[in-house]
Amino acid sequence: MVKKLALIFVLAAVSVWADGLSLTIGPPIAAQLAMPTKKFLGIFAVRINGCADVSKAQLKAMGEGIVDSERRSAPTEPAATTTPGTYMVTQQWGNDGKWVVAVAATCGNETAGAIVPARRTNMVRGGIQLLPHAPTKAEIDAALKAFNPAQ
Amino acid sequence: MPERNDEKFVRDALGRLPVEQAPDSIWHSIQTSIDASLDAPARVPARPLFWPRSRWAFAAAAAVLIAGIAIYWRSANRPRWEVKLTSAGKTSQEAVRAGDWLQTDASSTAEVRVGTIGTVEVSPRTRLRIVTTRPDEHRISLQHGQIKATISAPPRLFFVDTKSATAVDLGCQYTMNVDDYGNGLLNVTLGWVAFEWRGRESLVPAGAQCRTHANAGPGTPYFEDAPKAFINALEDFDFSNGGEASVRTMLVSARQRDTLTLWHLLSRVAPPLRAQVFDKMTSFAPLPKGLTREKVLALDPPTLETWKNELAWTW
Amino acid sequence: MTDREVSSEVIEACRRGDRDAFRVLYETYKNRVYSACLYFFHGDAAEAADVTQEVFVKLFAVIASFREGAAFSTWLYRMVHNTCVDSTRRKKVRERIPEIQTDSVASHEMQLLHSRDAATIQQAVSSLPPKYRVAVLLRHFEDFSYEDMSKVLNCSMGTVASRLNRAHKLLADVLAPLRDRVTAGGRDA
Repeated sequence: MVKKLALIFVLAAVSVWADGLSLTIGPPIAAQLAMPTKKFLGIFAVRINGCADVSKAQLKAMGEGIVDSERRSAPTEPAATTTPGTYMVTQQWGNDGKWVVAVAATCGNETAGAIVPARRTNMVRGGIQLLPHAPTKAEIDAALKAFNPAQ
Repeated sequence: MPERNDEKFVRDALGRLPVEQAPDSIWHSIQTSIDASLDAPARVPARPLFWPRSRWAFAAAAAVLIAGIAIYWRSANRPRWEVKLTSAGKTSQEAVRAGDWLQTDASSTAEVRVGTIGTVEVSPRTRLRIVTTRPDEHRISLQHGQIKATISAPPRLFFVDTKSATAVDLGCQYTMNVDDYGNGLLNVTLGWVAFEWRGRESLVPAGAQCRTHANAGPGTPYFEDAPKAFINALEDFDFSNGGEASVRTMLVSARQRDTLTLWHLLSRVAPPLRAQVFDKMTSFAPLPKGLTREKVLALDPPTLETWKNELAWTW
Repeated sequence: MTDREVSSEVIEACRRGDRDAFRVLYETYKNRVYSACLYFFHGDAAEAADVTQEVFVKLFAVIASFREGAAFSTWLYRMVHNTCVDSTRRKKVRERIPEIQTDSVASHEMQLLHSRDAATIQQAVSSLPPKYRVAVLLRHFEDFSYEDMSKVLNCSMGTVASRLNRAHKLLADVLAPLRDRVTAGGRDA
């Protein structure tokens, strides 16, 4: 069951829960187009949906990885673009081991999250999980276990 | 009289040749060359030291000397790019300025430091020219061969001209390969590049490629992992007059991610086909709120721009 | 082309080293010079750009020697001709003469040539030996008189006439399939 959740293949980057807060995960170009005058490299773009006042929403991202059998965490500050609610997430860890990025957004009392596998400065589409809450440790660990960067 | 008829015929025929627009880059190159020629060190003939006979001669000599030093100093401080050349295992350092050519043979490579904004790796059998090295514009002209550019400057500061397109850096790393006739392939690995030619622009994001042909300019960008049938049909459309048949093949084989290509095709196909391209695109994802089919089919620029920004999330 | 395109004041200012005036001069002639080079070099845009640049850089350097009263365009095009020929010799370009295709490749967005016929015509011009190519371009693309052509090419008017005569025959043969269409349509506006 956990594996199935971990291997959900998101064919469309847009995912809208029935109501309420949600995230869209997309390639870096989506954030770059939202900030065309700035040199803007990153591993993926994040958009916050369903927030009444997106200027007050908060977004956090953390790289979670396993390097040489050792569990590691690396915080990364999502970079805002000129489009409110759209951010670029950049890699703040090395290319060794395997890594996923745990993303959590809050807007008022609502929370939404995502787990995004990353491989050598790119996101891995297959394996993106969109969640109606901030990712839990168990979900992150399961995603790391299921992720095979060599594939 | 056959000669007169031939002359009139040829005159009418050549009357159909258009007056082409000279590229803007030519003026930049002219300015740079003129500046360079004005900065050239004063050629003071070698003479033995002598003691002037009069104070006026001494003052004149001193003025010439000071001017020569100033000119030479200014010349030495003209923008130049450092080049690390590697050939047969040996490395040497050179410097190039605007107007200089750089050519590698089968066993040599070069790494050009483009001012302070990045590097260009030059593969073997490559010939390029440094066109401009100004702080507000860094430009090279790739005649043939392959380069890999990694640029960290703000967008639109680094340009690569080829015979059939100009790659405008927008924040990226990319490889460009051009043959002797100006046919080429742009492959973007990080960020994105605008491929421009005579008013036509192709947006090439990371993971995508774009071909360019002499006499036709840049083709339509596509993702490297697109289905082979899709890529072949696109090449037919861009460079072999594939027409409706090739577009139909693309529509059949397109994936959601291939809306990158389909979006560009909207403005490159005739209206009847355009509607089919639109329908295929909206089969993958609905049109964003506020946009209408009519405006898309009319190629309304703000509508297309908004739709592109939304589609990018699925690329 | 006539000297009505640029005033004597501009030329005089250029002779004094006025860079703004030189820019005006450049803007006046750039497209025709570039196009002439383009058609001389078989549509090779990079080569045409290189030679155009070289022409204007030389022009800036020597314009002080331009004699008032002479025809500026004739003087300019002598420079264009010599630079094109020099460039060919210097680079030892083995001229790639494209095959003539009466069904040339075109796409919706082709901007170098406006029509299939224009593409064919350009290829036909490219197929001519250089001295005939220059002659037809000067005569029919730049509208030079025989007299002005003789000054540009530094030869007699008789030689100009002979080269044009030969060039017309060659082009007429190659472009025969287009004859009816071109003759009926006449010159484009």
